[in-house]
Amino acid sequence: MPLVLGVIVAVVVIGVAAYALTMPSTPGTTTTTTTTGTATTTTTGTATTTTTQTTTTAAGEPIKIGCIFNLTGSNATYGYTSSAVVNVLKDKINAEGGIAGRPIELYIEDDESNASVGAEKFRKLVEFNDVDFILGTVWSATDVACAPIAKETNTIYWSYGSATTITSEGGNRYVFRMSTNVREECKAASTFAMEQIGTKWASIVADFSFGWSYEADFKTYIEEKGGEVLAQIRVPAGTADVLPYLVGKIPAEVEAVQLTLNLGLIMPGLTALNIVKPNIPKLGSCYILSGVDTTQLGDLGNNLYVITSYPQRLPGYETDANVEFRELLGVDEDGIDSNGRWMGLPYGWAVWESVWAMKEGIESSGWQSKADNPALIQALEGMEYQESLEHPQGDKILRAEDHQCFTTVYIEKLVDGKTSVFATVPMEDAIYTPTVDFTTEAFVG
Amino acid sequence: MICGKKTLLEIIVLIILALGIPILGTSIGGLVSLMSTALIYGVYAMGYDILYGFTHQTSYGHSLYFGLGAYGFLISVRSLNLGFFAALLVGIILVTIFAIAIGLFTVRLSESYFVITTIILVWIGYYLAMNMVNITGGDDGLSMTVPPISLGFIEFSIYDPLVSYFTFFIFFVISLVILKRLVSSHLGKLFIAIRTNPNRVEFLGYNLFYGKFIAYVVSAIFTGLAGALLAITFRYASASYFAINYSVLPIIFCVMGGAGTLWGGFLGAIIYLLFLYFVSASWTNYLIIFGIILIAIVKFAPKGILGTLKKKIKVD
Amino acid sequence: MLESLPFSFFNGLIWALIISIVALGLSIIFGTMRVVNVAHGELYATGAILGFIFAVDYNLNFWLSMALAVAVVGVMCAILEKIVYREYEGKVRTTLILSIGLALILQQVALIIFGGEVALMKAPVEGYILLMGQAFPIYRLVAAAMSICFLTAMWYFLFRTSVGLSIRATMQDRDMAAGLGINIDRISMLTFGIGGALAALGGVIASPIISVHYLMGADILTISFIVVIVGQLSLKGAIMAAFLFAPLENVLALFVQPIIARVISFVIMCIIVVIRQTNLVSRIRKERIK
Repeated sequence: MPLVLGVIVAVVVIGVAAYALTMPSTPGTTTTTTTTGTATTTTTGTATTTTTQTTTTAAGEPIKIGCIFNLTGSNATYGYTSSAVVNVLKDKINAEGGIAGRPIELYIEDDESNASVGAEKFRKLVEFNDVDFILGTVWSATDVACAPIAKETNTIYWSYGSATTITSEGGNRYVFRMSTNVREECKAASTFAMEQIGTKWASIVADFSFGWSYEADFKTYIEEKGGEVLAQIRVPAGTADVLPYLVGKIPAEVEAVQLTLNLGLIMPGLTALNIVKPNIPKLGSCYILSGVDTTQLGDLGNNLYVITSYPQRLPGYETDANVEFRELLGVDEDGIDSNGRWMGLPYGWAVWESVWAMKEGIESSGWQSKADNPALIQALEGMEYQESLEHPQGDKILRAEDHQCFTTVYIEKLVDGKTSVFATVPMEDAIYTPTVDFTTEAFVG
Repeated sequence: MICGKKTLLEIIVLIILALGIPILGTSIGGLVSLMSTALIYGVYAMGYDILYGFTHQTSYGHSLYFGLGAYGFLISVRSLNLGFFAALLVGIILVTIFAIAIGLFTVRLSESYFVITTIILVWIGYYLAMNMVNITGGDDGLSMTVPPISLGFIEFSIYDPLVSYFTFFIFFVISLVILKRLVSSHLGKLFIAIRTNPNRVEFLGYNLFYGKFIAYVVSAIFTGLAGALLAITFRYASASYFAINYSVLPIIFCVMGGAGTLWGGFLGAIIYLLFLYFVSASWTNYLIIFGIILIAIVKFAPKGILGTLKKKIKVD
Repeated sequence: MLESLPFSFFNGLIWALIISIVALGLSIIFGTMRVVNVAHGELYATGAILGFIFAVDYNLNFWLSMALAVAVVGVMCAILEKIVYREYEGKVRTTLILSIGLALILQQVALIIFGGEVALMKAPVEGYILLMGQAFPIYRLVAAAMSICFLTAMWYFLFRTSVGLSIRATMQDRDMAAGLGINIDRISMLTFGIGGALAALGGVIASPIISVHYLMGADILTISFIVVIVGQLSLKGAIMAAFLFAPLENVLALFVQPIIARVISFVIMCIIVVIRQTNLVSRIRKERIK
């Protein structure tokens, strides 16, 4: 036994000594592979309609895009969409000449709706698959976990979760978010809510951090605009029997209800509300109708408004960009794909647009490998986008200070069993003061 | 000091881990990270094996200590600004206190009651962790900047990949050595007696409760250590560390690799991580394979991989 | 707040009934085979998912879907008992591993077949009645009535038929029952089948109230376990414990946050278990006497 100990200690001491003597001076650097490719620089400072290079087919060292999607676990329904979107995207971009003339390769991993699995996959994608940047998940926890690792490994990471912290205290210069977050949605929705629905509110949220952040931010902005939140009701996130938590909890003066429920609670929540306060106007948080067959809702959907960053259905929103986007994805006007599966377009657009944003950034900054990330990041910071096939969701900006995208927020309403765009909240009403400034953050290596 | 065949084998494996992996790692990307996580899960599995393999107590709620260890470290670093070792100590002390308090009452329970009570306890821990968002970050979790490992005269940064690997390796070795000594000590013999025939232990005048209790607390401590190490490698902890799937993992590791062998859990962890790294991408429902493996192991190789090999080779 | 008390309590009773059905299944499986069936939650979910598939994809009515879903799960469990669990019954440790494996497989299969989406099962009866000044969905009363019927049927089966007697005998003393000529193999298969069927039944009954999602089994599993051990592994005890737990949690949720209500309920149940199982009270008394 002591012999074992002795040998181990000796080995470790030798190893440590050898290492210490050869240790590089700047810890935290990773080896970067410089790739040579045909880098064509197209000058696009503020991206308008991109010029598709139909003449050149993509050649040269591929650009490897890592994807960490929620393919299993509680968020499994969103991973399906992300995966479908990114594959259509790859085919289109490659057919049109790739990014900077280089073809793109996808490496898709599952985070199992679990943050530490997501973080493990992040490292795997960077170290084993050698990816150039990573598209992230809708599961905020994975985004929070991956953010510091993104910086450590000099890998740009695109988040699609909605926890506000990802583009504030929990974020850093290597994390970008091409989707709306809770604070943005609440701020935008509060304008609409106060002007068009009512001034006395009750808030009903699922009892976990997503729900609480909506509860807090909604109250802040409603009160800022002179309204009142008379009750804040929480419903357990696991059990889905919502009724007992609502009975007797909503004061009579309440004019409307703000709803933030996770997937499993949506139907029971609407059912319960229909019993307790039938026909009361309801403002649902982003994508609250994810995966729900709205034609089955009947009375449950009376006066139901849904905040969304992108309308699920086409009618009323038939811009050229949208029509083409949805055609490429192969979805019908309700957002159902050819397999009959529901496509989460309110998140799918973010995956689509972030890759186009990277393309614009890469081509305008002359990026060739991760060593050029500083130039790319600076190109992305403050980039503006206009509605186009590449950005079908609409005009938007990618704010420099916190890397958060700000855009139009849509309010859908349920009419005759289907959602349609009822109102749009302009970008200016969604913008809040940034709490961080990543532009002052130093780059890694 | 004559080295048995088994000890020689162990030394060889440790040398491969210490030197071979980092060297291979320079040409195979991701290998070092995979093995780092394997070493951490190895510590978890070894700790759990003391309870499961050596005293036949099946806890289905050990992720309670996993989460406590992780948060003990994370909160010490974030809010109390403690150094690396101090934070680690806090995590371990926290786990020890809870393990003693809980163990005093639960270890006495009979087998099935014990299993179910540990399930209830871990769910309580999970719900509380989800609820105390200001402290734990809830299910979104919290990130941290890991303080450097300061040994007085020299400082190492965990952000260096090799430092990271060796840190986890050293903790693995320390855990292995401590647990091996425990197992071969007088107390360890008591453990084995408990698993062989608990009734006779009492007839022989030994304190059954004492043995089981010590095993419980020891296993909780190493579980907490593993939790802290996982928080270190991901610079992150969330309420998900308390979730039931982290309770099931060590059971899977130990059963696959071989319960009661200490090394078995490490092997089980490596197999799991290989699946996670290479199978998950092509087949996201890879967990079905683990379900089938578990049933197959019970039926055909109940001693797990190492257990069956041990029997075949008959080493000491 | 307090005006809702009768309503919450009443709603808790309804849940107690549904939990009783699931816990009963868990209890008889444990009683006869010493299997801590951690796959029980997945059986509940599988029942709900199958019920949904029969109702929506095959357009069968609710009752037929329920019957089919329960039958499928029951038969599947009976077969599983024979080919997977048979030789290991009586050993808690070993069968736990088998159940873990089963749970993993069932969960992933559910994901493959049903996907990650959530869906609402249409209730066979719609509409509300006014109860204690509050609109109450009629289906919940139907669910309660169904549950009472099934629990009564189970009572009759277990306590008034010879097969039920054999099952109870096996639960009490497996070896003695075998010695008395009871066909343990057949009883085991039947018990596992019925136990699984009960879990599936609970899932289908609950599905119009809560949604159908492939991970829906997680909550009910823990609650069923709590109820089974507070009931000290007896059938009547499990039902009584269910009636303690569900109303308790529902009522507590009126006053504190729902998660805290659940935690408090769990803690109370835990304390009850520990005190009873470790004979804490008598041991403290003995210390005092010394």
